[in-house]
Amino acid sequence: MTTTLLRRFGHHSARRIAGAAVALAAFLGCDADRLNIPNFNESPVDQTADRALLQNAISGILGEQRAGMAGLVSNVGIFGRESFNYTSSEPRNITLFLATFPLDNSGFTNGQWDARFRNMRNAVNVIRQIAPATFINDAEKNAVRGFANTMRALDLFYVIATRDTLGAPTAIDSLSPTPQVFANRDSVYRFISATLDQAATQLTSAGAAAFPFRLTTGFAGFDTPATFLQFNRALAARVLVYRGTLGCGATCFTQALTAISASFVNSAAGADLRRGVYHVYSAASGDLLNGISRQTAPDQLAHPSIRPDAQRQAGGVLLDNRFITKVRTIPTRNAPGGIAVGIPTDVDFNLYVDQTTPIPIIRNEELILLRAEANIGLGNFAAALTDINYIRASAGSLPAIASFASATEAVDALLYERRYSLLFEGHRWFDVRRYNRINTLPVDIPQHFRVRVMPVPQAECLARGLVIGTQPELRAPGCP
Amino acid sequence: MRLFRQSLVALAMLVATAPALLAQRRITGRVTEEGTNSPLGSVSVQVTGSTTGAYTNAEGAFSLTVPNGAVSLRVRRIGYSLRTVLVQANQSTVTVSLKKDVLQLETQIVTGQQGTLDRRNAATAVVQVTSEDLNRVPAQSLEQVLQGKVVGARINMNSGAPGGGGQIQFRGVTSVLGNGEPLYVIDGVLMSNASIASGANTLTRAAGAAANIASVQDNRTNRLADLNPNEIDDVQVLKGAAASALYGSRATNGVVIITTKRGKTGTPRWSLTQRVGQASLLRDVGQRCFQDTTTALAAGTASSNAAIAREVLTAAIAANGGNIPCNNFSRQLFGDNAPAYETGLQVSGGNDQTRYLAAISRKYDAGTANNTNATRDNARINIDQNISSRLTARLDLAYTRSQSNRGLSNNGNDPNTSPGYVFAKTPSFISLQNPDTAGLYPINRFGGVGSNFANTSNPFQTFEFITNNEDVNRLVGAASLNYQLLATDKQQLRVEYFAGLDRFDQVNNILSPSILQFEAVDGLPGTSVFSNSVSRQLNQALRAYWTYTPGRLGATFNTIAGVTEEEQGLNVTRNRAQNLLSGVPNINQGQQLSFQNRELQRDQAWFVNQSVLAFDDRLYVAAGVRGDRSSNNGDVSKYYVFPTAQASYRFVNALPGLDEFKLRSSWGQTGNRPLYGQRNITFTPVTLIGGFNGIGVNAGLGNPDVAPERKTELELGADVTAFSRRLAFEYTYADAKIDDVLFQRPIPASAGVNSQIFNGGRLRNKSHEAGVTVVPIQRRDFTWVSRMTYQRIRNGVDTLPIPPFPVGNTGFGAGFGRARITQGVSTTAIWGNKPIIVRTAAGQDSIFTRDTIIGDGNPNYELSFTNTYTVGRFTLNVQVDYRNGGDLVNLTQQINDQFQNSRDYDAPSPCRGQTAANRNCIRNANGVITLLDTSSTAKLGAYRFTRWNGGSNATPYTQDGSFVKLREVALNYAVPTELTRKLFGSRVSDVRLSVVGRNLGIWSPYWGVDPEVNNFGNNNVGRFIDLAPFPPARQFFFSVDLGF
Repeated sequence: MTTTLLRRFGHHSARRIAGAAVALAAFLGCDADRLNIPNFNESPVDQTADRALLQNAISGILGEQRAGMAGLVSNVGIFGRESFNYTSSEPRNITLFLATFPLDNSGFTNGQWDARFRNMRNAVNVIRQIAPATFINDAEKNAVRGFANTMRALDLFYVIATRDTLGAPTAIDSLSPTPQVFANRDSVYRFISATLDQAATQLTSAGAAAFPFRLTTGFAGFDTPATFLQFNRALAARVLVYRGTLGCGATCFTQALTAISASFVNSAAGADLRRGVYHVYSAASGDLLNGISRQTAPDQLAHPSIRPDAQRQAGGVLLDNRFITKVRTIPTRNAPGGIAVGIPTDVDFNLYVDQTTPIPIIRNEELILLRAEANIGLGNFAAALTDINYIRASAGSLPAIASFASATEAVDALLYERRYSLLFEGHRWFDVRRYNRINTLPVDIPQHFRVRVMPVPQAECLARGLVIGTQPELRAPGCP
Repeated sequence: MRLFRQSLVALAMLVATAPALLAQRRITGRVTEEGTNSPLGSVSVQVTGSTTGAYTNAEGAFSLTVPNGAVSLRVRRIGYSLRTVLVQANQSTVTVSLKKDVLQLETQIVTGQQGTLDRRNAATAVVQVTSEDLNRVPAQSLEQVLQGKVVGARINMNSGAPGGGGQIQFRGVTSVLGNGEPLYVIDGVLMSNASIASGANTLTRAAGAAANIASVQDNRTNRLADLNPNEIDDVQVLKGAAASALYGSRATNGVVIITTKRGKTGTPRWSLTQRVGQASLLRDVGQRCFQDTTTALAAGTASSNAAIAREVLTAAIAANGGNIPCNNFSRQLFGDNAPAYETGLQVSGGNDQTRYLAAISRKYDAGTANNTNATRDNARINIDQNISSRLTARLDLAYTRSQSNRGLSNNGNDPNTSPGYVFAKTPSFISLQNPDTAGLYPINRFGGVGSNFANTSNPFQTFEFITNNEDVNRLVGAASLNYQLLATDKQQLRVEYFAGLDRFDQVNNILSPSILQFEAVDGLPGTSVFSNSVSRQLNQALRAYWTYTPGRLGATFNTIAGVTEEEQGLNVTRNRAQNLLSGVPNINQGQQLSFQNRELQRDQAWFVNQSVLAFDDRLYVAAGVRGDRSSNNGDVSKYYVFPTAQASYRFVNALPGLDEFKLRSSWGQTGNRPLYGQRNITFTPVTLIGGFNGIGVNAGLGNPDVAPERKTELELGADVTAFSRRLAFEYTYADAKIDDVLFQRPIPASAGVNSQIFNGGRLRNKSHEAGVTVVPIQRRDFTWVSRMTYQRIRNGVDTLPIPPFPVGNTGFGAGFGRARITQGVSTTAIWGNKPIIVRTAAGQDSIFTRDTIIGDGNPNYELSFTNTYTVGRFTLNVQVDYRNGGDLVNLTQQINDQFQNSRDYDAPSPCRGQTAANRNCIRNANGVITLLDTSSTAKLGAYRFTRWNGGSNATPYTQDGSFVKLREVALNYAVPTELTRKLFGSRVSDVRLSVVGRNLGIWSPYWGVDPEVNNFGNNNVGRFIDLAPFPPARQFFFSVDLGF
């Protein structure tokens, strides 16, 4: 073959053609290492190799959780008829929340899901990754675990509080993104309690060690394992009280009282009702502003029922002091251009005045009311009355209630106090649902309807749809 | 650099083995035009079967050194039919006359990686746009010139803002999440066509809160805008996979090969072009004129409150002599008569050793709105040098500076700053245009937020004081060395080393001073954004070309083989400051936010292509293959292989009247590599919190197995020339399958991540392309050439391994309509909510809302008509384009309706006097069929908006975008030589005068300014969103071209 070619072309030509071929082949010799180019814009997978990276991971958990806070308060506010979002360029903040039945599961009303689970995965990741770490000791590792588990439980709480009877998956596999089965509501709440209890044990076994990371100023006073435990118990108390009203009854209420006493509750005269744990905001480069502040969201208005429903102070002139301090009157506004399903309102909030005003996660005022609620559940009306009257006097400047004639009357009083004490902090919608009083929410015009649960997002349904042919147990409630 | 050194060493080895030269003789000659006998310059005269050749000078003369013995010469010039003449061994002079080729059948085309082929043999559909077509009427950017001239392409300009911003797509959507841009190659340099956002989102808030400094809705310019069409000799488009296979894993979206002009042997030839023109608004959105105070108050209240509306209206009526004023805001803002000019000077020439072309030019276009404009300066030098008889070199260097001031446009959110958005919310009775004697602009009291409604903008004030400046400095350079290794009568072998560089920096400067009405809204008055982007692309190649003519069957074998390495880097940094010190634009002041994105991509490839031309150039067969590996692939060391095979056969004079009939078919594969970063599993920055950076799980998982998308395309076609070249017809059918499509596999978000990129599924595109050129009249004093093209493209999703999903940046959800990828459906289908009525067994009608197909952004078909009339010294050229279908989502109208300000709001509703039997007159009210307003006073605007029903019916705003456009008109007069001499002296050889216009007219039922705008800019699927665009302009120019 070679000789034939040579004869045909002549040796001279063949050599040159071969030379050209060699030159081309030389190019191919260059190694593929030049093609190993890193991703310059993202972080590597090894998240907790040292204290600095551990700090980044912990800050990531705090940041991801904070990212959902403003949306939670806004959504729960609309569903609970505390607030409206009248942004003129986005009519769907009105139509989809108030007048589209059933709720659209493809956007706007399907929040408090993806990022919450992503953050649970962050927590699980940190716990897994610090296990072999050598730059911190065992006590510090327990402190990290106690923190991560508390935050994971809190994220899951927001999920189940917005989904209620739909339930939610509880397990997170940090190694592979495997879909998990849905647990029912009560199982989810039990899982949250157990996770918080596990976190409490871990925080306790951290002893006197400091956290090997820094928290935000919103955790001031709760930034060591020992004091963070009070925050953990406060959350545990909230979950137990919720469970108490959702069927667990006396067992949970009793445990709740124990948890409250281990928290930072304080009903001494002149106690700071605002003491607690907050998400803080900052205008620093790369940081986040409060998304429902009056500056960042000037169209977050208050529901007009807030005024007529407020009780009057002694003398019958002044309204509940909480109304006076938290709500202000504005020129009447209606839903922006042509949105027929909005109603006029002349009130907005005095709460998040500045774009960096913190949003509370849990604070003393709620703890006192949780104690009252547990006592009502246990039939200890006198104890409950003490706490309720304490709040009425200190927060509302309202006259004391003499006594509760019935459990219903006690719950009426409790829900009123919770509504005005925790106004626009993301509670009322959960509260009326826990007591099967969704129907007490006003329907202002016939097109409006009352929401019971936020839907499982369409994307979750569709992604599960890919596997439920072979694993029918993975079907999610509420999915078509 | 290692690669570079290797190749130089290899090249040096080859040079050292060069053979001795053959015995030679010299011939001279002259080339003229058949009929007129006028001399033809710039004609290529080449010895058949060799690389020896020369060009004629202005007098048509040439001289050549050729081997002893008889030789045949191929004589050709663009625009004339090729001739081959035999020169006997004893003959030393020759005269050749060439016939005009009005059908353009005789050009050479590029077959990939710079191989060339006569167009008449091509086995793939060829689109070639010549310098003459490119420069007849000035345009903002290259893609605007190409509109209607490339059959098989969808080309649209995203807005009318000066400075460009357009997009090209060949034969449908070829990628959903991957890169969708064609590959642009200018003189062998792989050129960046990046569209980098300006940072205007900081002001428009189109993509939500202030946290987003920039967004794809910033009305971006793509960097094709830096090219000067005057420097371009021709543009060729490789649409199909067979044609572009040798460009490998970046060629799925087609390849656009741009060749600039080069110097030709002869005395220096100068050409000077001066153009002066004007742009004016083509269509405006208009404004509703209120006939009574009730409707005026209702509209005012919709975007403010009753008290403010009454106060403003009362004052407006009082100031207007008792009548309600009506301001057409968009015409007031965008209605300037904007001057434009262009000056260009070129010189070319050379001798046997050196040829050069140098060009310098400036183009300025003012926008039709205050303080908007674009300026482009170009300079270029192209040099060809013969170093020895075997070694030639080429060096090109081009510099561009593009500057633009584009104002604000497109989508917006509170506080509204984009003019179209603000005007939709502002009733026409308030006057915003003119400042008072103190220079203060009226405060806009409508469409604002907060309790006093003043937190919006006055666009007249905004455009007066804002800066949105883009400044691009670009250098494109190419160098190549070409060595002739072998030159015998039977074979030739040459090798070429090529290196190209394309580097630009783009600086965007946005300054919104604190005096602007909207600046106080967020409590941080004054905003400044400074962005600096640096793009650098390098490519180098070593190629060998071997031609073998065995002397049997008239066969010629061409082999091309080569290796390349390509690198693209892009680094974008943005800095924003708010709460500026008054009068200090520097971002050191105020509250800062910064952003950086850096990408680096590198590819290595080898390729080889073998073609045979046989049976008197009638049969053409070719096959080739390219292997590609890339830093973006999961496996960076794996070569992905893309083959191609092509064949064509020409039947010459087969029937009476049928000059030539060619059948062609080709098959090939190309790739589309993954995007940068898709292979990496990473954690992502979450936020800064408490002074520390937080990182967390990335919701979209990377995939270490990610691979290129792969297109397999079969193309069949036929070309006919008939009636002594008075008629040419070509038809092409292409069927493309795109496999291993990059999709996001959805993962239930409750697992903590929600998707992972992967390869799967198949897109399927089919296109029909046809063209007819006829020469109804061809006389010495009058020629009429008429050309019509037709294209019909269907793009669909054949298999989708994941559930249907809406594509990001294609719209605003089901309530408005957006693209949603669904198996078995058109890729460009517009999906949105639509009411569905179902009759139950009991005879009751019930109504549901479903997310379903409500339109398609892809036109049914498109036609382009070009007619050229030459009467004596006058030439008239007219291009008219027609598009049938192609729907838009008209959100400009939606916001105008919502705030009761659309110009036709008061027209009668089609539902007057109708009943529920008319399904267009009902809406879904929580599952109950509810009649719209059917009264005798029902209005059109209210009808559309109430029918839209808060988004439960997206059909009213999904509208047909069919149009007829008068794209180009050019009247050209060549001044007689005698007159030229009298006016300019004997040095000036030719003078041409022209009056030209672009976008002179549009006839369309579409309500918006232009059915070709797009809010999202360069985008694979979503090219159909009309939302407050900068309205397009019509342009007129008078120009003088001098040659001397």
